[in-house]
This record gives sequence, C-alpha cells and structure tokens, in this order.
Amino acid sequence: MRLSDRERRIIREAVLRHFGVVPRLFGSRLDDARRGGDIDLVIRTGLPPEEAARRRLDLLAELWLNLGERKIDIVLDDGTSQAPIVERARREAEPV
Amino acid sequence: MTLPLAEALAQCARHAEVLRSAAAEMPPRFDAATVHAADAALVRVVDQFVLRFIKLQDTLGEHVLRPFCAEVLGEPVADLPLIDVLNRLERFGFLTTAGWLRWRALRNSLTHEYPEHPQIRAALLNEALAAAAAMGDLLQRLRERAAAR
Repeated sequence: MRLSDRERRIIREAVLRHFGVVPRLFGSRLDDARRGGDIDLVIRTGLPPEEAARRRLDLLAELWLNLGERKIDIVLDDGTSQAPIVERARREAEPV
Repeated sequence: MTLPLAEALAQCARHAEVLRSAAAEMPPRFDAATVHAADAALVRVVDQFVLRFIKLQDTLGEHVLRPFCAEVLGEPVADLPLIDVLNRLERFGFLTTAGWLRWRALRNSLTHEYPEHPQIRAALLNEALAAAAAMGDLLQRLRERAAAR
C-alpha cells in the first residue's frame, strides 16, 4: 500500500470520526510498483444517502486540509449497490 | 494565464450575478421529489446554477485569492501553496480554510447528477444554494476591500 504512515493515520482517523468505520483503499495505490496516482477510498455506510453525501464533503475538506489538495476519490458503499466501481472496490480493497 | 486582479474580480461579479438570478428561479429547498419531477425549465436553470457555481469558485481560486492576498493585503504569498493563501485569508477574516475546501468538495460533487439517488442530488443542491450565497458575500467583501485601496 503506497501511503505513508502519516497519511494512513490521517485518513483512518478522519473516516472513523465522520463515518465510524475504518476506510479501505483500492486502485493504483495498492500497487507498490507504481508511482503517484489518486487515493481511492471505499467507505461502507448505512447512513441515509443524503447524510452520507454531506459527511463526504466534510471528510474531503478535512483530508485536503491535512494532506494538501490532491485527487481523492471516495466511493460510498451502502452494501446493496451493484455499480461497477463499488463492486471493484469491494473486490480489491484493503483496510487503511 | 493569470488575469489582472481587477479583471478577475469583474469576471467573478458576472458569474455571481448569473448565479444569483439562477438561484432565484430555483426552489428555495430541494427534496428527492423536486429533483425527480424537475421539468426541462428547472433542469436548465439548475445546469446554469451549477456551471456558474463552478466558474465562480474556479475563478476565485485560480485568479483572485492569491493576487488579492499579495496586492491588497500585502502578504508575501506569491510562491506559497494555496493552503497558505487560504490560511492568511482566514486570519484576515475573509473566509475559513475548512469552509473553502468544503465548497471545493461540493464543486466537484455537483458535476455528478446521481440519477439513481435523487435525495443525494437534492442534498448537494441545498448545500450549494447556501454556499453560493456565502461565496457571493465573500466576493462582495473582497471587492470592497480591493476598491478601498
């Protein structure tokens, strides 16, 4: 997993605070052979979609504040979605 | 390309004006039913609102905040990351860094329409209506301060 210990701590603590779960990482940052790239996170949540969408904004703002503005994609998984991106995230993701 | 500050502020004022008039034609508050039942006219006005929201935020972020900080407040921010510019503007009471970044996150989310989840689109549009008014206020304060030089 290509995240520094500091990045992992910041991401984990922020997601725990806003969503109460440990986030999972998927995508190119799982591949140690690559460089750079977006930070793709998947968060499992049972919150009502509109509340989850608002918390997603709070979370992104907090991550940018602490990590600098960079490309962070946050996929919310309500447990029922069959969207390809969610299914891919479920398959690949590892806890941050 | 960087615009002169006065020109960038004038551009922002045009975006803010269209944003305001689009907001005035929208319901004061959206819910899933409003989004789901939107007719062609409402879809058009929401598109216009979203486009100007994005343009206003981008123009402020790319062409106004840093030169305003440097030229109007006299802060040495030319080579600093945007986050440092935001922190200076927070210290001067113009905005909060966290608030600006949240508008930024909202700006990015508004480009998705969430056709499967009208309640998410409704929540984001409600957030954007409040943020648009606050961004208009920020622009007004920046223009007044720049004019008072």
